[in-house]
Amino acid sequence: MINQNQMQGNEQAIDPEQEPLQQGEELATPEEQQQLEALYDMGIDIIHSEGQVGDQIANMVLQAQDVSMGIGSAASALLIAIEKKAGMVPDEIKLQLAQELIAELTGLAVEAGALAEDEVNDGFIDAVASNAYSSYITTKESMGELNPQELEASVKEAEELMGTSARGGQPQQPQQPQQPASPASGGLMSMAGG
Amino acid sequence: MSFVKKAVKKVFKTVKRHVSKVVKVVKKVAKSKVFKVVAGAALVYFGGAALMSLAGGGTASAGIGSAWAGAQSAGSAVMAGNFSGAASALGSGFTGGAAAGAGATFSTGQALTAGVLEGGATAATTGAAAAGSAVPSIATSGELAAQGASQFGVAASTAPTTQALTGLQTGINATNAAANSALASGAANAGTSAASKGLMSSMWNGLGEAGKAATITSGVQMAGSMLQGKAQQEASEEERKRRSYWGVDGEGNTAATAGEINFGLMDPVNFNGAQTQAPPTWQTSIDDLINRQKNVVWSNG
Repeated sequence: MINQNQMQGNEQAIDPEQEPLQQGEELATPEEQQQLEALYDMGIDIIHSEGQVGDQIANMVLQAQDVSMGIGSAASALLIAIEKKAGMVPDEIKLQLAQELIAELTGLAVEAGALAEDEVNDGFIDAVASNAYSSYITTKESMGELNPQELEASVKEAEELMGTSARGGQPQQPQQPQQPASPASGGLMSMAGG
Repeated sequence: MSFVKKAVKKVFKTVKRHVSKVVKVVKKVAKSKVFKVVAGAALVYFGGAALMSLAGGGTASAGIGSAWAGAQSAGSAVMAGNFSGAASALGSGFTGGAAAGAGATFSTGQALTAGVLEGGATAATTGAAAAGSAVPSIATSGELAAQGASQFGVAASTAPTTQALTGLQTGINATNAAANSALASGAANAGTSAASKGLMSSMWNGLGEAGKAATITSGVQMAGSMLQGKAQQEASEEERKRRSYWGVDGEGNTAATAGEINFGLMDPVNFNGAQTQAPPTWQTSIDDLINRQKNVVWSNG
């Protein structure tokens, strides 16, 4: 007899909504997927918790002058809070976690009437992601946890990946030989080793 | 493979979600391919700005503030990989963040860069001074939050979360207050407007100065019209309450003489016979006229 958990596991393994992988993409391992879900649940607990913490998250979103700024700040706060509770979060998981949390916060904002459904477009996602990253770096620096060396390495990697740079105004030469980064070193969303 | 590339190229399955009324919206964001592109662009642009500011002796926060102002000025489309305008603006403006020194904040960077880009050096200095004086460090706020957490008896397991969130919230509030101060001086107007938009949000940027002014003017006019309309509505309400029809006023109150016709000047209680004149007839004599005139004079006297 198949129990409920096994059924969910099968559903998740098949996942009809899963889009085919693009060239260069790789599917997360079951361990990584499990870790993401555990961290996501941690974030959901914070968002929906009664009392001070949940209220603060709601206020960040609902009382912000600009909803994209509010959601960005709230997502950043959640990410930092999860890091504090769970310890180090791998960078590849952190990026996906940020996206899932932003999706959850956006859904709540729409439900609360702070945002119209048709306002959620690519421009909105861009604004939220930009605000979230800005807020994340600013907060990390204020907490004394920003490591300039790790930030430099991450920005350099991103410049190579994007094929462009904001610092020199000219695209970087891709694939320059460099030292392999350690797991503790920064990544896309964590420049401070949080 | 580097960690940034790994993060961008890693694909996860959809997480098991709680029941939501707006599943469509949530899935739209969670499955957005744009998100990772924007995240990479944000790392390049804002991370680069932070590093430039750090290299110049400023703070990462001030550099990011400058980057927002630079993005607003350039009207950049970072998602499309167009960094040239934004990078150019950043290059000319980021020095504001560095020039403000190690204590500079997000708002300071915005104000200074906006000032540099708009040529309003004096206004920028005023804005930066206002922002700098009004913004406490978030680290200090975090300490206060920690004290608050202990005073409220927050459980040890949740204390770090509460501390981080409270500190962040306090910091954000302080930053907002500082941004408002800078706005009042007119220096950080452009920078703050940019900070609420994404890097590729070019609608506002595309308006041009005249378009922005027209938008603001129409907004003010709209607000003025709304206020005027409200005043007219209130006056109409008062007028309605003052009206009285057949002994019942606008609020439904019934007078003591309800049902009786009020003839106004023909009120028998206040009737003044002296003022009543006899109907003129062709039989009126000169004596009648004299007597009538005397009555009128006496009654008035």
